[in-house]
Amino acid sequence: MNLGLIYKAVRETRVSTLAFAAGLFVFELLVGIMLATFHKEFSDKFLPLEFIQKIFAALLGTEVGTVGPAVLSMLGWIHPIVLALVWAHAIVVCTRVPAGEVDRGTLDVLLALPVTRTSVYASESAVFVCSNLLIVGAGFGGNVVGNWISGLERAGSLGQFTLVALNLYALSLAAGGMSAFLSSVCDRRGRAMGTAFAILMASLFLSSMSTFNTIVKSVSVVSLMNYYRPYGILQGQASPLGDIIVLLAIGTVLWIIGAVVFVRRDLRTV
Amino acid sequence: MVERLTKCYGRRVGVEALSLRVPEGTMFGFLGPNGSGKTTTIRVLMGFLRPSSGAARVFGLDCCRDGARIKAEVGYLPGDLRLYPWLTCRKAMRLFGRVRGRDLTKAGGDLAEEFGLDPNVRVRAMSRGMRQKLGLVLAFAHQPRLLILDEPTASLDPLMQDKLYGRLRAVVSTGGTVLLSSHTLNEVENLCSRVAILRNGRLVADESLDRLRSQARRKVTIRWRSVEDALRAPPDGVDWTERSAFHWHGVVRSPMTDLLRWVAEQPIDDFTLESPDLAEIFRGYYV
Repeated sequence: MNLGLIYKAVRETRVSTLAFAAGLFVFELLVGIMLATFHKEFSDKFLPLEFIQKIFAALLGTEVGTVGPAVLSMLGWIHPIVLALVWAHAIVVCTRVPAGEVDRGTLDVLLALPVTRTSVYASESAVFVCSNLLIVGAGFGGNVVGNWISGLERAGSLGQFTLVALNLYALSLAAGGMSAFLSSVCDRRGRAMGTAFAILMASLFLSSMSTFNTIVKSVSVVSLMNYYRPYGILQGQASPLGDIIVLLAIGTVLWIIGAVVFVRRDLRTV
Repeated sequence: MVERLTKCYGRRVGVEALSLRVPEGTMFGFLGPNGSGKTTTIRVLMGFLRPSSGAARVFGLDCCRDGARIKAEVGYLPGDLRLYPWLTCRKAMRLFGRVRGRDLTKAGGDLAEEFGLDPNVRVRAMSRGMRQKLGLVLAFAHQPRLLILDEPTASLDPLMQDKLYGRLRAVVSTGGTVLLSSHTLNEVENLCSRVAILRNGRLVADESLDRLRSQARRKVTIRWRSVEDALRAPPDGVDWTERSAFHWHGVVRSPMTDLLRWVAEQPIDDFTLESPDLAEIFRGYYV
């Protein structure tokens, strides 16, 4: 790693990182506050409805039975906006090098510096790992503050919610590792971003549909979302450590393959 | 520097079996039309591209394996320079100094002043010429042993070009080496002591400029005293391109002595022998 390159990466990503972090904090805060205001009415009128239960089952990727406060409090962790913010950050930051640099034609200037390609890749990745922690941390903070303001009884302990946040962090690291790999094999950043987004959407789709279809369920093991189970963590059904390890392993393997490709390939601005 | 270097892009050949050595302490001109393989060679030297076969070395180090060590002592200006839009000259010196592990603020500031570059203007607000100046400042600031410059005078006004030429001469006079790729044959002729010419990815010439000139055919012009004198039989060893009433123009192809002996006996008003310039030599390789 190189401090100068880390400074450059921070300089170029700080605005988007802060925007994503602020967005996630505000969203989690609002979810907490809003749940307090419509919790009673929602519980009485909507939760008994079967289609509402199916929507939650699809979002959580697991059968939830009767939708209660525990399921409702998961809304802040499984809402598509949350996933979109975390994934968008992973995709934006992890496709900067080399695809982004190739795309904007600045790769020549970057690689003319006395640094190895491994160092360039590692510096960028280090910035992603830290900035992503900041984003998930902001979401977690928003969730805690939102719950505190609303005064709603928590569906789980703070430790359990911390595990949920760590599970989300591992998910975003896996998305980042995949984006870094795609960035290494693509000359166009748009192509790398589009492919990463499509894979994550497919992953979400597989996971959502797996509760309704046994064939989809059997192939959903390849979906990243299969290893993000916040509801299971709160219910004590899922092993968060196992899921986190699987997600980190996927992210690390893809990241390493991306590094090898980046170090070995020809690089030209397009 | 490069030995039997071949670089292919799929089926297309970028450079083929190119062997070239740039002597230390020289200004080396690298010539060739578009697509001849100049930029490919430079990119291999910079470690951006991997050779399909052959070897590329700088300071005795392998360009792929030891790229970082090599680039610590190389200043590079790409032909199609793109810089980060948020960068100013001052920020660039801080950033690149951090990466290189040395303070470049003083050297960069002096260079910016010399090239007339405002150190606080962002790249996004710069003209092409200003961006090129910043690229040159970045290439020179760490006082590299080797400068690899791809079309360095593109977008520079004549005054700045003169300043750059002065800088390049100063680099060479202090033992530095310059590899200059350019389409501007005049500047190569004025600056370089040795040139390599590429055609279709192959080396067609690698000579000192003096030797290239001596090998090239000279132009001859004869002005006769009268129309009658111009009617006499021409000597052998010259390809006459024009023979009018008073003037003969041609290109000498055999040893000069025969022609000079013949001219000495002729009733002529004027006789001119022109040394060919680089542009003509260059064209000679492509016609």
